[in-house]
This record gives sequence, C-alpha cells and structure tokens, in this order.
Amino acid sequence: MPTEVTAGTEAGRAPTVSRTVRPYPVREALEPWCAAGVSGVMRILDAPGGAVYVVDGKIAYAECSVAAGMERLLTGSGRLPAEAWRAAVGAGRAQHRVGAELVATGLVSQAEVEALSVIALYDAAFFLFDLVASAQFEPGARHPFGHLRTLDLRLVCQEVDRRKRLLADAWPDAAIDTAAVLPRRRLSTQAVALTALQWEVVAGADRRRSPIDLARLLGRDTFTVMLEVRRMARVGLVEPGRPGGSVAAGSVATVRAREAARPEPVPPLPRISPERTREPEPPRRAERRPEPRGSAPLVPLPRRPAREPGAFGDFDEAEDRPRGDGRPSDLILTRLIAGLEAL
Amino acid sequence: MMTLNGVLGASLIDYPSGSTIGTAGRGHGDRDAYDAGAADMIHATMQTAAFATVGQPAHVEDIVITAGNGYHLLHLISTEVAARMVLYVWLDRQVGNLAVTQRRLSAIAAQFSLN
Repeated sequence: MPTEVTAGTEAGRAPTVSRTVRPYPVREALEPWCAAGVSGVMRILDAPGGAVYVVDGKIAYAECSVAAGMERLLTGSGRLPAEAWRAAVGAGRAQHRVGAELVATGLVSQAEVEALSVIALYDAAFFLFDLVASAQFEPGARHPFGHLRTLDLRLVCQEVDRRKRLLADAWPDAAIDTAAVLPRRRLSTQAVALTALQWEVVAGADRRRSPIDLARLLGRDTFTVMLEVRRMARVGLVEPGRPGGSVAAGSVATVRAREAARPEPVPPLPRISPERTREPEPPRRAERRPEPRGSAPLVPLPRRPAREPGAFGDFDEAEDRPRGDGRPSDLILTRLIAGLEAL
Repeated sequence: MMTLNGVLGASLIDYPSGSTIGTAGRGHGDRDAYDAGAADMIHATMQTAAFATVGQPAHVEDIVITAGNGYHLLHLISTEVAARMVLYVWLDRQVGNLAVTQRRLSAIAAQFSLN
C-alpha cells in the first residue's frame, strides 16, 4: 500500500489529504482509489507535476504541465477565440462547469468538448502514469471544467502503453522528443507529400523548438506531435538537433534521465505485507495509529531534477531554480494555483 | 449512431494519435488494433490524396472500404481549423444502406463540429 496518511500531522493542510511518503509509480498509486470507487484528485508533486481526477473510481481528467490541456486544444489551435475561453472559465470555474459554459456559447458541441477532454486526459496520462513520484490524494476535489467522460483506469493504462509502443516503433531514441527539430536541408527523394500536421511541424520548426514546444505552439496534444516528428525522422524529413532549451523540454528530459537512472523502483516497506491491500486507508485511522516512520521525509529529495516546469510552462529559456527550502512540490502547487487564478 | 440500420459497430477515433475516443456496438475482437488500423488507413489516404489529380484532393470527406465482412466507413470530421477526428462505422452489407449511412454520418459530423 503506497499511500501513507499524514493527515493532521502537518500544519495548514486539510485533514482529508493523504500523501505518499515515498515515490511510487503513479498508475499503481491510483489503483486503490479507483478500486474503492472514490472521487477526488491525485496531485503529482514531483516534476513535471500534474493531477489526475478520479470520479467514482474512474479517471475523469488528467493534466500535466508538459501535456496539452483543454485550453491549448481549444484556443491554441484556433478552434475557439481566447476571449470565449476566458469568458467560459470566468463564468463556470466556481461551479465546476466550465465545459457546460463552453457548450452554452454555441461555439463547440458537447460531443467535441468530451472528445477533446479524452484527448487531453490521454496526453497527460502518457507523461504521468509511469512516473515514480510523490503524490497526494484529496478526496472530493473536482476539476473546474466539470467532469465529462470517465474512463476505466485499465483502459487509460492500456492507451498509455499503446502510445509508448507506437513511439518506440516509430523511432527508438527518446531523446528526439526533447531535441530541437531540424528539417533536413535536402531531401533524398524528388518529391514529398505532407499531411497538414507534418506541414505545421515543418513550418513551426525554428531549429530550436523541440516537439514538445511545437505541440504547444501549434495547439496540438504533445504526444501526437512527438509521434509525428519521430515518424518524419524515420522517413528522413527531419533530424534531431541539440537538446531543446525550453523549460518544458528540459523538464521532460530531466525526468526521463532520472527514471532511467533509478536502479530499482521502490524497496518495499518493512511493515507492509507482500499482498497489497486494495482499500485506500481512511485518513482517520492514521490519526489513531501512531506513525513509527513519522520522521521519514514527506517529500523525498534525492535524484531531483535541477529544473522544474513553469506552472503552465512558459516558453522562456530555462533558468535553474535551486530548490531552496526543500519543498519544491508546494512551490509547484502554489504556482499552479496562481496560474489558475490568473485566468 | 447505432440507430442506423445495419450498423454493427461504431467508434470515434482521434486519427493523428490513433486513439479511440468512444465506441458503441459490437467490437471486432481487438477493437483498439482495429481503430489504430483505421487511423493508419486515413494516414495512407491523406498521404496519397495530396498526389491525386482527380477531384479536389485537398479535401477528403470519407473513405469507404468494401470488404467481405461489411462496409467500413471512415468519415473525417472537419472543424474550421483542423480535421483530427474520424467517425468509423462498420456496416452490414445485407442490411445496411451505404448511401443513407454516408449522409447520416455527414449530418452527425456537422452536429459534432457545429458547422
């Protein structure tokens, strides 16, 4: 059981929040909550940072700073004017009905909003589900968008695995995702046909932007652009350049390097029976039970990347931000919240 | 969509990624593989459509595959800015009416993208 409850032991934290004390694969950390059919949000505290929303034990939405959110898919692509998005967020945020407000404008259909929410969910899940990260679960929390379509955890995991396979089949070296996209100066063939997306990639490539940056620029989901660039590299249209300099690309590269360097996932806790219990621990039980490992660090610090993504990732060149007080995850959260308020 | 006569299965596919967004009706065993295959079909068509000299190659509305086990209709949903989603319908050859289904899919696609 990865989740340890530290509720009530920490000042200023709601007593219902439970937090993993040590990093654990996100998809496994979600399992007990889904099996128990609860609703709430699992916040991933380590870089690149994100959240997975669960409704009645099913995955309703996921977001990650390097993946596409609804805003990028709707406004970044030019599908909706930014004002329409802002108006809907302003009107529906408090009541968790931004999606409904968008549909009410008559600019998008309910079906399209739902479909885009699934695309955004898959995009974030791709980056989050195999992270070995500290996370905390807040029961009852809901996404301001309102929950549209929910998917089984198993289905989302299958899709994440399928996407990893697709990427590996298209081009085996993952470094291409975070390296600058360089369209080849000369073609080896006499003519070439490009799809609309491939054209956008070539038109947007400035010999500095990585696929992750291009996805943001084009208002596309990150996975799709990563896949397309890998496919284009295979047929010799583009080649990977030097590592991309953006915060988002740097963050993904750092996280991947860390995951690759991690020798053994997680050593089992001594007290825990080999068979993991499916039931999430109700927070109150922990208050009664004294925690023998109370001295364990709440946020594990080793192998932490030197950089973190911007709260909705700015495009600026990365500046190294040392983690001064050893509580970087809270920093991410506050910046995320600040970013949301700014909307 | 399943109310259409002779429809055996239907899905909504995000074709750049090959992900299934939603499904209805009878599966074909491994539906995911099938939907990913449909996405590949669109890819292949779009690549070659750019070279086509007949009609207006810039705009492909749907692709029909006539197969032993039925018609496979792939209808691209275009919004103002992009065409990324595809309605995929598997239609029974005896019961289904291809032309009617094509029209109906156009209407559903228009409802989806509100244009």
